[in-house]
Amino acid sequence: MLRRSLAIKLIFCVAIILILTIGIFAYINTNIQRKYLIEEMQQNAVRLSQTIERSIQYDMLTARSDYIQRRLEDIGEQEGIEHIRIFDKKGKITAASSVEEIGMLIDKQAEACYTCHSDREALKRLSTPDKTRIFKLEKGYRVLGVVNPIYNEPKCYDDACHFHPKDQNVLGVMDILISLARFDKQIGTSRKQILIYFLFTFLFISASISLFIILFVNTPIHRLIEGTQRIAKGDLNYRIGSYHSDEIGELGRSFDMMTTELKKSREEIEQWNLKLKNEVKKATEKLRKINKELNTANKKLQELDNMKSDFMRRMEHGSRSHLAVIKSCLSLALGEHYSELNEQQKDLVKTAERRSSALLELLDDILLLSYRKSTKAVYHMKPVQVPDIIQKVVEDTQDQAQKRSIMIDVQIPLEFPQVLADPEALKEVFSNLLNNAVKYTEEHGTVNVSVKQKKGIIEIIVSDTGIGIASEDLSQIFDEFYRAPNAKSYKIEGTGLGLAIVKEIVEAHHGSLKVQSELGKGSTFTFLLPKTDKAE
Amino acid sequence: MKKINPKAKILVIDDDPDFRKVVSIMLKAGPYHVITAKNPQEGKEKLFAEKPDLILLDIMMDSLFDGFSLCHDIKTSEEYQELRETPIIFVSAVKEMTGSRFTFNPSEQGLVGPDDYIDKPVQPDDLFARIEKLLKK
Repeated sequence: MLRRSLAIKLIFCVAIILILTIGIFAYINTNIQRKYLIEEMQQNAVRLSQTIERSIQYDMLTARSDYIQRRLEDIGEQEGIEHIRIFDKKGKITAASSVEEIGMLIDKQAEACYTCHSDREALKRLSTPDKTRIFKLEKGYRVLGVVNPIYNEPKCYDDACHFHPKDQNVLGVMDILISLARFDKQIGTSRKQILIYFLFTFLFISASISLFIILFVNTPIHRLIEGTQRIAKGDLNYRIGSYHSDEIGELGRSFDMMTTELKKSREEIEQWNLKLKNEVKKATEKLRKINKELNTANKKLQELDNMKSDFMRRMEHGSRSHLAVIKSCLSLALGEHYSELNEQQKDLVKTAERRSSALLELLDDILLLSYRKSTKAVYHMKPVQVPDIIQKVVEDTQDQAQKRSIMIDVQIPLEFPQVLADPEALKEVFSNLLNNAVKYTEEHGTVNVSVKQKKGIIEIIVSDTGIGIASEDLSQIFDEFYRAPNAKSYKIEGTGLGLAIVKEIVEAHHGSLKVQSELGKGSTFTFLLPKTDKAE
Repeated sequence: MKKINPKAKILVIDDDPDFRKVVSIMLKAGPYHVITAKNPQEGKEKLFAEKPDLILLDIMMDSLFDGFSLCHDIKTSEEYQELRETPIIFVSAVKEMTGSRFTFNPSEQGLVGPDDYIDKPVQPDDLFARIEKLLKK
């Protein structure tokens, strides 16, 4: 499409320029040539007229009109001469190349006479161009007319015949018409030749331009276009290759350079890509390996966990079986034969019973803590009513409190939102906190339990008027088996595991536990539980 | 203690002779009629021979879960068809709360569980209340 349009545009432009330049040149040239030729013809015609006049002068002086007539007829037969006629002052044709014209009158107004007779006074002398005129005959071709006045001469009025008076200036006029048909034909032929020449020149120049465009513009541009299309499709191996030493060639060279650079950068990118891929592959491989190792480790851990569970189960079974029998034996003995024992025996049996109970409690706490800390610990989260659980725990603790005249004051709002939590685990937390509060409070003391809801959290406070915890001990009370020195000194029994269990459960619920305490005045445990409505 | 059914015959299946002795004393004080067996095999024989009104079954005897298997058999097998209605109370030295008991989950294994659970050591009052509750059914 480009080839056609570009060539046609250029040829069109060249055509207009050629038509204008050659056309104008040809026109001016032809006109100048014609003008020159016409002038030449005019002079020739005038010379011919003068020659004829001189040749017939003797005959005119001798008034041998038949001689004149014959001579005019002879000359008139010459090719190119239309006619020759001589007329006198009155316009009467006295001699002519055509005999039939003799005696005819020519009007002064006729175009041949007009040059001299345009004014009232006739001109007497005429310049060469004025003597001639060009006009078209009715026959269809142009003619050149020459009017040659025949002036009076001494011989004319001196001669014996005295035909012409002396004072007469012009005696008559010789009028010759020369045909321009051949001349016009030649001019036409010349014009045709110029036109043909112009056409040939035009065709040659157009062909040259087309060839030039095809060779030096179109082909390289076409290759460039193909190149851009191929590159656009991703083929970076395409090269223009051959360049002309011109701007388009330079463009091609730049294009090839650009493609080479492009290819280079693409190869670099591909290399980077490959490198990156390899890195990713390596990293993935590494990760897979690590994952495998982790899986193996996890499996091992699970196996260990299973072994531990199995061990714990067997240990629990073994210990509890023995303890169960010991406790049952002791209680049966105390029940049936208590009265038969002496005081020392009673004390020993009671001590044994108390310590076996403590041992059972310790066993339970160890197992519970071990379970809560193990990976197998399962929290069954469901919507629970915290006040209900507290109420239940308070009821379970009431007996123990009443034995020592401790009052448990519970403040629970009537309406309370449900919270997502494991009810069993929450029960463990409250029962530990409340048991501790009762255990470490002296007789006739008070334990306060309250539940509040705040923005986004639930606050459960268990406070007592007990022995309190020394500030230096506060940071350790959640440690396993840690028991504050004052607790031991009051001879209050405990496993030292309760708060460790509480801590595990509170953390599993994303809650927190705060302790405030003053030695001898009491402690306040605040359990903050986030109000989540989504299952963990 | 007051609502004891003296005619009730209770079969105690436990591998711990001391526990069998202690429980027997407790139950006899009930007073109940007590039969004991030291393993599932003997328990099975006594079961058919004595046709007890209730079974106290230990979970862990020779193997970790043979109590479960025996319970499942009694509740489902053709062999025990006439004894299927006998109430069973599991007596375990492994507490439910520790979670370790259910590493082997009977229902997950498609086993049928007992009518009740009781942890060792057993308290007479608690034991009697559970027994009476099941006997009434």
